[in-house]
Amino acid sequence: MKILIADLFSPAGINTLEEQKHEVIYDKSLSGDKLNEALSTHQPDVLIVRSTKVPAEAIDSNANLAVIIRAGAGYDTIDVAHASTKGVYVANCPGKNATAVAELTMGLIISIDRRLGENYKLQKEGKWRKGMFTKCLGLKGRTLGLIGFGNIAQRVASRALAFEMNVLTFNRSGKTIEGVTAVGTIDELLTQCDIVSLHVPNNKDTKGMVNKEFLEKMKADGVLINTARGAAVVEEDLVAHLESHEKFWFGTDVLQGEPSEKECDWEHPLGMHPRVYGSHHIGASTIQSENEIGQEAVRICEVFASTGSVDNENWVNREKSSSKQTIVVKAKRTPEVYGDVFSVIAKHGWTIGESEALLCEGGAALILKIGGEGPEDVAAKLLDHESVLSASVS
Amino acid sequence: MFLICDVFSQEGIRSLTEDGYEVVYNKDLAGDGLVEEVRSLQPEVLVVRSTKVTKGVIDASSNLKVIIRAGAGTDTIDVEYATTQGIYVANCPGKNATAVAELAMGLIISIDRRLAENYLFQKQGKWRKGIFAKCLGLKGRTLGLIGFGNISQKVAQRALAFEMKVVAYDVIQKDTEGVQFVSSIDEVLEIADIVSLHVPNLPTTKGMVNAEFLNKMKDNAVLINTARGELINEEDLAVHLETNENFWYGTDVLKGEPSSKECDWEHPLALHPRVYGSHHIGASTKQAEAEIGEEVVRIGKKFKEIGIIDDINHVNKSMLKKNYTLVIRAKNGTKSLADIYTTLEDNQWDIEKTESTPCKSEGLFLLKILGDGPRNIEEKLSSFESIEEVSFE
Repeated sequence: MKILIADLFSPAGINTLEEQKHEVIYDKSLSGDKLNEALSTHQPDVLIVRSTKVPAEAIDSNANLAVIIRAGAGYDTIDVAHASTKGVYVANCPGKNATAVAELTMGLIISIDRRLGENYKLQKEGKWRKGMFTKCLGLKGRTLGLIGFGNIAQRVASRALAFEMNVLTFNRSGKTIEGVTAVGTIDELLTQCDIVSLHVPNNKDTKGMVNKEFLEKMKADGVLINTARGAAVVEEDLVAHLESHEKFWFGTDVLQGEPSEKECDWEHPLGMHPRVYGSHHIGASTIQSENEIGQEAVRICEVFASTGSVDNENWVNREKSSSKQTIVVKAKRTPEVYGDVFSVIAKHGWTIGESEALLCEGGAALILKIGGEGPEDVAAKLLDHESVLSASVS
Repeated sequence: MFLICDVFSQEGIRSLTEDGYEVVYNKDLAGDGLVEEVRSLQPEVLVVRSTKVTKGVIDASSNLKVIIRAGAGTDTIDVEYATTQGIYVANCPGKNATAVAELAMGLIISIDRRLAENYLFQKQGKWRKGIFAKCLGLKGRTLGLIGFGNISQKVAQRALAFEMKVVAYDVIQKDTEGVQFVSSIDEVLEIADIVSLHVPNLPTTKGMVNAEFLNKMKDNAVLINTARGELINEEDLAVHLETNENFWYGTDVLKGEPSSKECDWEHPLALHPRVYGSHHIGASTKQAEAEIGEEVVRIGKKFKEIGIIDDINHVNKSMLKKNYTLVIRAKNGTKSLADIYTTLEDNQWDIEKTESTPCKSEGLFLLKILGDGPRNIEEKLSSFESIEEVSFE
C-alpha cells in the first residue's frame, strides 16, 4: 500500500512498514495546502497524522484514500463527518498516549505545588529567591479530583496514590479503582478537591464545561489542571477567576487557538498569566508513547492490508446503530446471485445496512446475511429466484 | 526559653506557648544578628532549620542546653564544639522525607519533559512546540538510587508507580519489593538512565561525584541531587556538562548558596542550560513543616519535662557522656533494690558503675551509682518508702 505520514512518527514504525513492502512517504512538515498537494500528488491509500488537521478539502484531494489513521486518541482535528460521507475509514489509537499524558499531568501538579518553573527562571536570571518559596503546601495528604476516568485518568490515579494523595473521581459510569472514591456529582468533587484535573474528550457535553459557575465551586486556593482539550475551558471566565482569586492556579498543556506551526511568537492571556503553568501541547510527546502509538498505527495498517477493514477498537466512524432486521439467504453460488439478491431486496422497499457474504467449503454454496429494515415478505420474493435455496427474516 | 530562628510551624509555636513555654520566633536571624540575639536572650533551647550554628553562636548563651535541628542533616551545626560544651544536639530524622522525595520526582519529570523551559517560553510569548519532540518519557526507564534511607525509599515508591525500573545501592542492603539492590555504586552508574543522590554529607561522601563518577554514567543520563552540594566536585560537573551534550543535572543544592532569603546570585551550574535547579526548597512544604514542628515540640517538651533526648533524635549521644553520681540510702532488702533499679530503668538511666556499702545506721545501706540520665530521678526515687535519702554527689 502507499502510506503518507504527515507528522512526527516513530522511526521504528516506519522501518516495519517498509519491511512489509509498503511505500512510505514521510514528511512531518505537511499541513494545510501543502498537505492537500501531497495527497493529490501521491494518492496514498493511508494517511497517518498526529496533530495536523485533516479538513474536508484534504479528504477530497485524494479519491484513493481508504484510511485516515490518527496517531493518538482524540480525533477532533479530522473532519470525520466528511470522511464518513466518502466511505473513508477514520481510525485512532486509543490509550497509547495515556502514560505520557499522565506523566505530564503529574509533572504540572508538582511543578505548580513547588513552583519549579519560577525556581528555574529566577536561577537563570542570576537571582536567589529562597524566601518566595516558603508557602508551598506539599502533595501528601491533599485531595486530587479526576473528572473522567479513562485510560489517562486511571494512570494519573495510580501515580497520585503513590504520592499518598486522596484521590476522587467523577465520571458518568461511576468507574473507579482500588483506593479511588467515585463521587456522585461533579459539584461534590469540585468542593472537596484541592487539585482538579480534567480527563474528558472534547464533545458537545464537555465544551466550555469549565465556566464561571464551575470555577466558583472550587476551593479559593484550588488548582485546575487541563491536559485534555482547550475547548473544555471558557477562557474569559478563567482569566476573570484568576484575577479575583489570588491563590488560584492553572496548569495546562492546551490553550485555545494554539498555532499549527512548530515555532512562532504567540501570546495568550492565560499563557502570560503569573499563576498559569503551561506546556506547548506536549502531552503525547515522548519517545515512549511515540513508539507505542507507532506500533499501533502499524498494526492498523497490517490489519487493513490483510483484511481490507479496520478493527472495531480503532474504527472511529463506524455506523453505531445496528440494523433492526436481518435477512439470511442461502444460495447456489453463481456470478449473478450476489447482485440479484441485493436487487430484489432493494426493489422490495428495503433500506439496506451492513452485510456479510460467507462461503461453505468448496465454494458452491453462499450464505448472505443482510442487515436493514423492510417488509418481511421479502423472503418469499427471494425464494422465487432459481439460485436461492432458502431465505428468512428475523 | 526557646529561640526559633527559621521558618517554623505556627501550630508548633502555639503548642509550646499553650504549655507555658516562652518562645521567641524570628525567622530572619542569621550570622552576626543571630549571635547578638542569642547573647541578649540567653535561650536554653535553640531551634534551627538551615541557619548555621557556629562556635560564636554557641558561646553567646551560657544557658544553652539543646540545639534542635528541624530537619535531618546536622552539617550546618558545629556539633563537635557543642559537645565540648555539654550541649545536646538533636535532629528530626525522616520528617522531611516526603517533601524531599516529591521534589526529587518533580525535578525528574521536569527535566524529562523540560517543563521549566516550556514555562519560560510561554511567559516570553513564544511557542516552541518543535523543541520538545525528543522527550523520552519515564515509563520503562531505570532510576538508580545512591543511598536508600527515608527519602530514597519514598522516591522509590513513587518511581515504581511511574512504572520505572528502580535499582539501589546502600551500605546496608534493605530488601524492598520492586527495588533491585546492586552491590556497588559503579553498577548503579552503569545501568541507570537517571541517578539520584540520597546520602548525607560525610568525609566519605564529600566530592564523590567527580570526573571518574560522571564518566561511568550513560552519555545521556540525568543526575539528580536533593542531598548536599558538597557531594559534587562542581568543576568536574561543569566540564562534564560541556563535553556531554545530552547530559542533564537537576539540583536543589549548590555550593556557596547565600544565607539570605533574597539576593542576586550567579553560579556557573545554575546558569547552565542543561541544569534545572531549585532554591534549596527540599523541605519547604507546609506538610513537612507541620510534621517537623510536631517532632521539634515533642523533643523540646520531653527535654524540659524530664531532661531526656530520645536516642533516635540524639545526634551527639555517644560524644556526650555525662556522669553523675547518685547517692542513695535505703533499707536493706531486695524490695529497695527492686524499687531503685526499676525506677532507673523506667526513666532511661544508663548505669556505668555501682558501689554498695552498709551504713552505720542499722538496717540501711548506701548505694552509689555512676551513670547518666534525667536529674529528676532524685524526686522519683524519694517517693519510695524503702528509700530514705537520695542526693547527687
